[in-house]
Parts: sequence; C-alpha cells; structure tokens
Amino acid sequence: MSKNFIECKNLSLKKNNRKLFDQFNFIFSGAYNASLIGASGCGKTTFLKMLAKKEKFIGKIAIYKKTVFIFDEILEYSGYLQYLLNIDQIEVKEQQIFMMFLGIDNFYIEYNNLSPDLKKKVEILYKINFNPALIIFDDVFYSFSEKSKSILFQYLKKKQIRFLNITSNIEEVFFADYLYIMSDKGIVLEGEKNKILSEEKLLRRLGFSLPFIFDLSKQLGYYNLLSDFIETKEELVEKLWKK
Amino acid sequence: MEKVNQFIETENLVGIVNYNLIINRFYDEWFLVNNDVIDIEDSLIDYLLSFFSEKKIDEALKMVKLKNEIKFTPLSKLSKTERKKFRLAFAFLSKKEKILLVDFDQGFFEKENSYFKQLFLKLANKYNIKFIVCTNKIEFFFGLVKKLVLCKPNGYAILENDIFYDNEIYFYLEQPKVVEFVKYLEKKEIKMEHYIELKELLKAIYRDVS
Repeated sequence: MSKNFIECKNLSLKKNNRKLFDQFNFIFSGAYNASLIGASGCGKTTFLKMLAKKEKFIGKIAIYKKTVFIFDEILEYSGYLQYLLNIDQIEVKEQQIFMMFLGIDNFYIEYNNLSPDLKKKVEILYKINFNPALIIFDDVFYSFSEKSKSILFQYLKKKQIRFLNITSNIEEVFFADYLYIMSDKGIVLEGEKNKILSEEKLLRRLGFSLPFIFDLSKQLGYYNLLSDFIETKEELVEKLWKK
Repeated sequence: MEKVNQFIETENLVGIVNYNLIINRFYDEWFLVNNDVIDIEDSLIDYLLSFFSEKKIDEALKMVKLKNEIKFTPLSKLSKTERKKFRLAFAFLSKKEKILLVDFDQGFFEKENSYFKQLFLKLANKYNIKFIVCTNKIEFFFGLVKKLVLCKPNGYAILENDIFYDNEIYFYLEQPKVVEFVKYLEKKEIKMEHYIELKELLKAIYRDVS
C-alpha cells in the first residue's frame, strides 16, 4: 500500500474511440486539504468514477481504504434524521454544528421530505459518521451557501478528516491549501494554493478566472496599491483604507 | 402572477431567481434545458441524424461548443455540462422559440458562461428566440438582463432598479462576491457606486485611495 492517500499511475481510458485519459498520473499525499479545479468536460467526474471503481480503466490506482465519495446525485435513504445520523451517539456540541449546517432546529424530520440540497447535506453528515480519513466531493456545493460550506470545512478540519474537493467553482479554492488544475491534457499545474493562484497568466490562458478578492488584490497590485495577495474583504479594506 | 406572465410575454430574455416556486408552470410550453440524465443509449450523432442533416448538426454542436469527438458518445453517458449543451443544440436544431434554461451556469467557468450569455443575447435580440433563465447564482445575470423576477413564498416581484443591489433578493439568495464587497465598503462608510464589473470597481478604488 502506498503511503499517499491516492496514487494513480498511467491511467488510460478510451470510450467509443474517444481517448478520455492517456497515461494519467495523480498523487494526493493527504498532507493538505485540496481542490481539483477543471473546466467542464475535462474528465473530473470520470476520474472520480475511476477512483471509486465505478469506471473500468487501464493502469493502477491505490486509494486509502477509509475514503468516502460524495457524488452530485441524490441518494435515497429513509427514516428520520435523528436515527439516520445516529444523533443519540453524538455530542451536543456536534449536534449543534449539524443543525447549523443543515439550517434546522431538530432532527425529527423525515429524510424523504427534504429538498435536494438538504438531502445532499444529510448524505455528507451520514458519511462523516463512518469516520473516514478522506472525503472526496464531486462538485456538490453549487447551491450551498458560503456559510454552510464554511461550517462543513471547518468541521472536517476539526475532525481531522482530509478532503479533496473536485469543483468548477474557483471561489471554493479558499477552503483548501493545495490545488490541482486539470485540463483535458491531465493535471497541468499543482502546488500550494497561493503559488498556483499567482500563475495568473497561465490560469487565464487555460480559461480559469481568479477568486474575486484574490483577483481584486492582484489587480490593485498592478496599480501599486497593494503588494500582497489577500484572501478576505476585511483584510483588503484594512490595508487600503486602514478601516 | 398576471404581471409576471405579461413581463415574460413582452421580454425575450427573462431572468428568474428563487425559481423553485414557479418553474413547473413553464414545463408544458417551454423547451427545457437542464442537466438531468438522458435515458437514451443511442450515440449523440445517431440520435440527431434521425431528425436532422449532418451539416446542421455540426453547426449546432459548434454553436454550443460541444467537441466533435462527443458525437459518438451514448446520450446516457454524457456529463452534466454536455447534457445541457446537447439539449441546447437540440433546441436550436428543432427551431424551438421558447427555451427554459435551468441552472445553466452550473459546472461552467466564467469564460464559458460569458460565451453562452453572449449567445443568448444574440439569439434573443437578433432572432427573436425567447429565453427564461432560472438560476440562483445572481452573477450569471450580470450583463444579461436589466430586470429580474424574484419568487417569494407570498408572491412575485419584478425588480427593475439597481437589481443586483436590491436587498430583497439576498433575503433568499447568496450575494455575488462583488456585491458583498461593495456592501461591506458601505458598511465601513466608504462611498462606492454599485459596480458589478471588476474593472470599474478597480478604477473607483484607485480614484478613492490614491
């Protein structure tokens, strides 16, 4: 077993004469929480399906056993959240985090009556209850609020559960420390978040934009108004207006 | 609802936010473009060739930016964004005049979304195709519409003035980053116009702090 959480070597996948992956390599060490960003149709979900062994491929994949996947599809469970999420076995403080994340005030709600967004959130909590070492998300946060994303990622960090978030939303990179940039040619760039985001020209050439505040601070740098990359609006205002 | 119906009848490009409360009213009359799985095993090209000529198909696929090699993929195996592009191409090929786009922006980058926004504007203004655009990501409406329909539990509102800075929307939906930032400046008593373009905001900041 590899000491990395995920190690893929020479993955190839061909479908209907269409080469989707050709000698694709990928390593996720597990030392950081990471985001994998890629344009639509570059193969993000197919890659994930290969990791989850839902897709046949040529090559080798070693993946840590205690990994769970959250795909962008609604799973059908049944019963009350109280039992589904094993609430009796969870500390009160954690129950409160769950409630904040779900935006509810009790757990006596039937899963089948929930909206698709809430079902997705319940699925995430349900899978966290298995104490995974790694959760891989497949672009599932489209309709989540910033607040609920923030609650979730903080909770995962507190529980020391690593995550790999596969997304097309550049704003979500702030929750991770390490970035992979994927195109239809494979992983074209990877490294610590700030280092990757500083590759502005390359990212734009690949069709990526920068996260809003990061982009704003970078552009203000060109006007000689800032010299650092800034991640929050509070910090940016403080630096520019001293407020 | 009458006012909203009238609005939809007169405008070629209508944006609707918090749309879950209203959307099923349109299913009968409008051609739906969403990312639901397509339960057809035929390849994209085989399926389309039973209705349209190859030349027309190629033009439509190019217009929606579907790669040529996707043609041989079974429709059931298309990715989420490919399904939307396929449905949009199908709408163009069948000359649908009323197209309902649901969460069209999901899964696309800014660059890709900009392309489609330009396309919708062109088709709406030049070719009189009507679009209803339903998404809860307000950013997608930047540069696309000047009015927005907001669905509320107790009715509907047509927002017409300074729509992206109307606080009523943000009771239901998340603020775009640029709006959040300008509102934060206002809270800090820094005067700023209600920009939605980064370039304009940059210039204004430069003028203010230098």
